Amino acid sequence: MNKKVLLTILCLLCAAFPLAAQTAAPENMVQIPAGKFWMGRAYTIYTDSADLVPIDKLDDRPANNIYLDAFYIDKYEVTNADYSKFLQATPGTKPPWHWPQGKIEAGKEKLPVYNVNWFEATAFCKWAGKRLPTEAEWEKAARGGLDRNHYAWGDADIDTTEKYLQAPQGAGRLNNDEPIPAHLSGTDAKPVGTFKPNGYGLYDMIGNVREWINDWYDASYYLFMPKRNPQGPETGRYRDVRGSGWLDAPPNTVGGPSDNNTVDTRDFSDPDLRATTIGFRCAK
Amino acid sequence: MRRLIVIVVSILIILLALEFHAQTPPAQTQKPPQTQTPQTPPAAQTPPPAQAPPPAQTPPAAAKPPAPDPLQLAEDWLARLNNLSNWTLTFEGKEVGREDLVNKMMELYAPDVVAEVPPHDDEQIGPVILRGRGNVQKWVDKISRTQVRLLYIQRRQTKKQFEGTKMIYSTPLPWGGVGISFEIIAAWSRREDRRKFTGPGSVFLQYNADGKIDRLRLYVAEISEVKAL
Repeated sequence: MNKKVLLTILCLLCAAFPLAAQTAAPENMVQIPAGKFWMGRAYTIYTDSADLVPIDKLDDRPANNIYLDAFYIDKYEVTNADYSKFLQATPGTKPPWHWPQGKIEAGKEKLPVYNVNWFEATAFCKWAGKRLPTEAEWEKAARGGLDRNHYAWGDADIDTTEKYLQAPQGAGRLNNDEPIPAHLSGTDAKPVGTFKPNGYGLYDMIGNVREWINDWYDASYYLFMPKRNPQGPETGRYRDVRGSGWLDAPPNTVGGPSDNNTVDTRDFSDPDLRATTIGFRCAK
Repeated sequence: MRRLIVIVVSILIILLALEFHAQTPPAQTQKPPQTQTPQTPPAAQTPPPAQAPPPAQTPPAAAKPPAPDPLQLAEDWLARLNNLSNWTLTFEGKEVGREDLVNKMMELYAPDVVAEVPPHDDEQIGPVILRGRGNVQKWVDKISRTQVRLLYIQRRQTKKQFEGTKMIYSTPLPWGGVGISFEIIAAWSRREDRRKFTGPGSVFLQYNADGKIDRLRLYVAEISEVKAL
């Protein structure tokens, strides 16, 4: 009898260990499970059908079935308040130039930090015991567990009703007339977490600010990329930037670009550049 | 008396004949000498004033190279492609001759070549656009490393008395060079497990004026596995 009880307790403990490991995610981070996902654009868009996509913009093709180990990623983009703590802890680091007198503007503590370059973003993550995500990690996280989806919230973007077609620019709507759950086409960033999260519980993967990625950018990288835990090209000139920012037009805006907000859209920037639409989040 | 007249007339005829023979030029009946000496053209002394100057010194054949034969271009490209698996592996696992075959294939391409080829494997979706010679070399290298028993053949067409004709479509390019296209049947085996695949397809090649490939489109559709009966 005693043996049976002991065995049962042991079994329960064994079962509880993995559960405990899963729930032990660092604060404000989410664990993305190990496994495969399709990275890159695995579907055709209307510009393909008219042969309108320049060769250089086919950098998200072909799509590759990629395996990633489990990793953690920040729920939110790094905020002004977070960055302020980093500045206090690392004397000599310059604050973003748009902060008046080097201080956060009142009421903007929860806005994502921007006007930081790739080196400063990397330094922040290192200070926080983390790192910038790889391009594959960012895209898997942004997909929120969906397969070959267009956006972080799914595929819903095309509204062909008369009402939509006559809508003014900037009035992007989903089919069900719900607003797109992303901050696009604004005049400044919004506090992080203003909109609904994606399937992994991550906020603002599309919208608010674009995000620095650890990898070098290479338009031809997807042609021969490793299929397990790709770390990006060994060297390059620009660093990857992913996601969309508050200056970008929403999907299928009348007269505006419609395919720059997808989770597979790739962008890049000079790592020295400090831009008003580029922020970051960290991974671990 | 009659005999005397006949003799006199005969002598006169002989004399006339000798006279006529002496007036005709003897060279007309002579053969030309075996060793030719440079001849001054008679026209040089009195050149016709209206005549154009002689043409350029270079012979016409050297000025314009003969246009490449489209069938030969197609067969050369296919031969180099199929040869990519014709290298050997030593007992120590050393690859012998593979790089040479890759280099042989790469001789055909221009530095700024753009190629559109099918996805490499089941783990890719979408067109594979290779920009530049470096990326094409990676593609060629990958074929040589991962595929064996390559057999890309030109399709033949039979109609009436024309049996098994290899059809090559070609056109001169507006910017120089020639574009060719032809239908193929592609077949290859995967090196890792020797599973064989095949599919119909087509090849489009654009050769520039220097004879190098500027553009390549290789389409292989309806790929299916070849099973033993």
